[in-house]
Amino acid sequence: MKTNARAVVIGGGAIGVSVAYHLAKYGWKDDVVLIEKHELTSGSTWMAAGNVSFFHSNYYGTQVNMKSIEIFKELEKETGQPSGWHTTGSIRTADNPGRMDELGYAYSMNRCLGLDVSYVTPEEIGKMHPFMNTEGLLGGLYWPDDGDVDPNSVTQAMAKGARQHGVEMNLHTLVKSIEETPSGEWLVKTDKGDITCEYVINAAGLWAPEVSKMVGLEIPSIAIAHTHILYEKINAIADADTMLPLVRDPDKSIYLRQEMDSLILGMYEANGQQWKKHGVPWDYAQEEINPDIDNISDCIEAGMERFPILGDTGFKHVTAGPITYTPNGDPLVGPAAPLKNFFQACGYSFGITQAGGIGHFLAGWIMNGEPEIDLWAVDSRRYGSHANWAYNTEKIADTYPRLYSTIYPNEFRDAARPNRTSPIYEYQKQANAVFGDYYGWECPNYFPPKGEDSYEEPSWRRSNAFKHVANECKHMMNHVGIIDLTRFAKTKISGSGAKAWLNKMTCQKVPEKDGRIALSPMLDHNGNFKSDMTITRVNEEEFFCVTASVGKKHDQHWMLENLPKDGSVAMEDITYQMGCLVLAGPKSREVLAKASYNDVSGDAFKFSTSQEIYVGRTKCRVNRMNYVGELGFEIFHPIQQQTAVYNALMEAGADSDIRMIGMHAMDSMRLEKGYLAWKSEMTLHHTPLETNVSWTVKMDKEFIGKSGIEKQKESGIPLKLVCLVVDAKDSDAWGYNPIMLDNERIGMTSSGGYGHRVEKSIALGYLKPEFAKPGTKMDVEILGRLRSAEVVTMPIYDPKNEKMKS
Amino acid sequence: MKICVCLKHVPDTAASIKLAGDAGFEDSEIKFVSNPYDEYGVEEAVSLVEKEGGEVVIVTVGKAAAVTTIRGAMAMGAHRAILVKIDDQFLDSSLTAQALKAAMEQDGLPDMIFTGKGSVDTESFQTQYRLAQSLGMPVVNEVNALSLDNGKVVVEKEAGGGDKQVMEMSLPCVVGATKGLNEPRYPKFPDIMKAKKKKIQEIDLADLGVDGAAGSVVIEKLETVPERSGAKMLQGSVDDQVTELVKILKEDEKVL
Repeated sequence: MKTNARAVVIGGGAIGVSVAYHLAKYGWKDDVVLIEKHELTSGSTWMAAGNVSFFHSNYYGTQVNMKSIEIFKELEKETGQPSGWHTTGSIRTADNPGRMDELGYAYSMNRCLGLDVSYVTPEEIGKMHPFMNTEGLLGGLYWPDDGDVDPNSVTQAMAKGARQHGVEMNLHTLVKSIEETPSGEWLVKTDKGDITCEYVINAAGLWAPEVSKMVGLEIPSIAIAHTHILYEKINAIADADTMLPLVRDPDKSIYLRQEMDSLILGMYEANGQQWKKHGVPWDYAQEEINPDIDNISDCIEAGMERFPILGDTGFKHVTAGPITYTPNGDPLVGPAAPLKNFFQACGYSFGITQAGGIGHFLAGWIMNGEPEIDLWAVDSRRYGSHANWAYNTEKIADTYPRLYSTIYPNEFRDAARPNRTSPIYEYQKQANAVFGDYYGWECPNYFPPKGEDSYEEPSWRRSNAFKHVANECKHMMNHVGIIDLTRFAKTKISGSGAKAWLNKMTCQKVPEKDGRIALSPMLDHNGNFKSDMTITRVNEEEFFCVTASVGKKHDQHWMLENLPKDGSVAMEDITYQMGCLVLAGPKSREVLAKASYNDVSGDAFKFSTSQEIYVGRTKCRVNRMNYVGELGFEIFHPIQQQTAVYNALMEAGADSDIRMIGMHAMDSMRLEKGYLAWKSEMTLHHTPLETNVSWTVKMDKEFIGKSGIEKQKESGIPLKLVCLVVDAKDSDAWGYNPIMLDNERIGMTSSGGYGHRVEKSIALGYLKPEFAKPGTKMDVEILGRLRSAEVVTMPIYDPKNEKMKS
Repeated sequence: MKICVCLKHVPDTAASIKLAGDAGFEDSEIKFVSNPYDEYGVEEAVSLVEKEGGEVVIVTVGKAAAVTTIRGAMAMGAHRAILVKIDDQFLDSSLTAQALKAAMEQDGLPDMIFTGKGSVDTESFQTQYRLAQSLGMPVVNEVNALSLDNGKVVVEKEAGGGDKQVMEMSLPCVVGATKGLNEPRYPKFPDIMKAKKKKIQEIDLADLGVDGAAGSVVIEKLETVPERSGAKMLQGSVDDQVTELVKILKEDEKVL
């Protein structure tokens, strides 16, 4: 076994083998070592059903699937080893309107990617799949290019390719520990010897949590016994010339596909059984678990209802085996915070579907420092420290049976909540808040009047929250409100090198005067958006940086990775020390003046400045800016004094009709103002030059991403961010909607919703620049239907920012 | 026609067995299946009764968990079952035969008894002979073809060298089934659900008057087979690898 390598991949399942194969293929050749404690595929790969389809709820996740299919089809040509790929097509059915909407979302999003997908009627489905009873179906989507692959063959084919490119495969080799060397490399210790390497990739599947523990991480991944049933030979299938399409009937929580001369039925049953709660033993390998037929009988019966032939066909084999699941069912991929050069590639419950693609994208990510596509949806850093073992146990018990449940953009499931709460949580509850869950934080989405049900109907259309959100927006426009943004990620950057370092980290000029605030995007090396950050200068050597709450781990990891080693810059996470209440609306100054001992008049406290003032008895860091576009103040305060600050504001605002406002209203208002949202507008696919914050790019200094910006300045921007007013009646754009002109796709929305202050349906999106002129008419496809739309001048609300600056 | 089928609940041969103590193993987590040879007996008995009428009674000597295996046989069409409960997975062939005999006598002796040719866990290959001897019935083991002919049973077995033996037995008799006798049917889900309602009579071994401690064979020690190692990977083109393999088989291993 080698003692030195560039990269060590831990785990010989489909994922690990693919990562190793792609790293070697793309140039690291024999500098890649794979370690597997048993045989290849012996963790979960051996029991995978092998379904490979384009469908993924996320736009970028879909692209990973697309890449997989491309790779699987080419693999045999390259390696000489068959991958067992069959193109069968696949159908996803719907038996209720909510599901039809979800399919509409998938349809529109897939069309943004140029995929061949079409709506099919129940009659057409019946013709494609003669064994199917289509009763009760409303319709479905059909992807002709989907198929299946033999999980073992495809892994062996990639392994062969990996070996051909130089990967050293060490089977029956167990990783015992992983240590960081003083020089910043990794020392992977195994029972067959030690390897020093630059990069470690944890593709250990069932054991990924154990491998993570070796480097001090707790990751949200657990094992659940998944079951599928192989039926005995069915003559009509054996005699047929063509293969049956894969069918997913998500409303019945089942899938069914052809396997040789018969069928495989798989299911996500109501009581998923967690397997080996306290960690999968190291000596487990490729062993079936006793199937629990009673536990899956409802799903089997559902299968027989949909496919009556299953009732007359014997079970040839019932396979139950452990597969990993995460809190939302999506994997854990990418750099592991806070470590350097340690990558996750685990938590997969659809590992075969993404094995090819994620190997390709992760290899690129490792080798280039940035992924080719924005993989935030599967990024391991989307989970905060609240996502510990106990959380996973409760959360995944709810997620597993709902893996096929309809996905709704406004749904926040109840399981394993609450976790993080603001000190004023009880006040919010008393005000009848409907809470959302953001990075573990309970944060009010809206406040229905007392006596009304505090529950939002999950929907792709305007929900029962609509009129209440409208009231909140108008209240903030006319009076004053408080938004709780305690969840903001807050980082204190200090030291003699702080200013210079921050100037390197952001394209914006770091404020030169104390108490000045600057919107300061951080960019990646290509000049694309990495993070949304606001910097407040406290003094020459201290800066208060605020970033998006859900991106906390991601953003702080990026800062940490770039932090100088010489001690000239100190970085302190103060997220959990400071709360934030946003006081906004035309009467906010009046309220703050009453609550504060300080002079907060327009002359004394100017827009886009920051002061330390007393709100009640609490000394607060107050920034005069906000995300809703009204006169307003972000009041950062010691978290333990939040209740006192809150009460001081509520008392001071009693005569001004002060009330609490939720996230839905804030999101509506930020759309009206054209304020960018992280991972909607601000993704790895866009630079600030394409947006309305191009003014934050200061070319007269050096910063990360500058060369990318220079390149784009030379070649011209490919896309331009616009605001569209959409003629939508009951369902607004959501993001990933195709923007069409004469049947040609000219762009895609990044987000959308209803602007209650302007009373218009709004979408933000990126368009080819020639179409970005205000007044240009086009269509936006929402849930599969075209809606006419027009580009308008951004921002549509208070274009001169008079309210905010008043 | 009443047919008893002796069915054993055994660890899956693919299970990874962990030893516990000197002569035991951890059985709570591994997958158990019906002894595959016994399944040929179940299929043959069910087919015969489907044609001739009568009932198929499963008789199992095993731990309480054997019920899952019994239900599997019932899903194939067996009508009811008797489970003689023991505490250990391993009971020697003599005690097993005594337990089976006592259970069948209590239930009423059948016209025919099927066993597998042996069980894949203990591989003693004796139970059918001991059972037949104690009941005074004829027995043929490793039967791969069977027919009923005027109250007689005609059975076939391989005699080695490509020959087959054809034998005739009078009823009642004991048949040790093996591969080739039939293709055991795969249980259908509706049959699995029906099988749940079928009756399993549970009896403790002691209640049959069999002394579980009186076995003539006691397992003193179990050891795992050492993992094979030293595999040699052949390199080069497929042609080179085949040439090399043939050379090794001829010259080093001397098997060709």
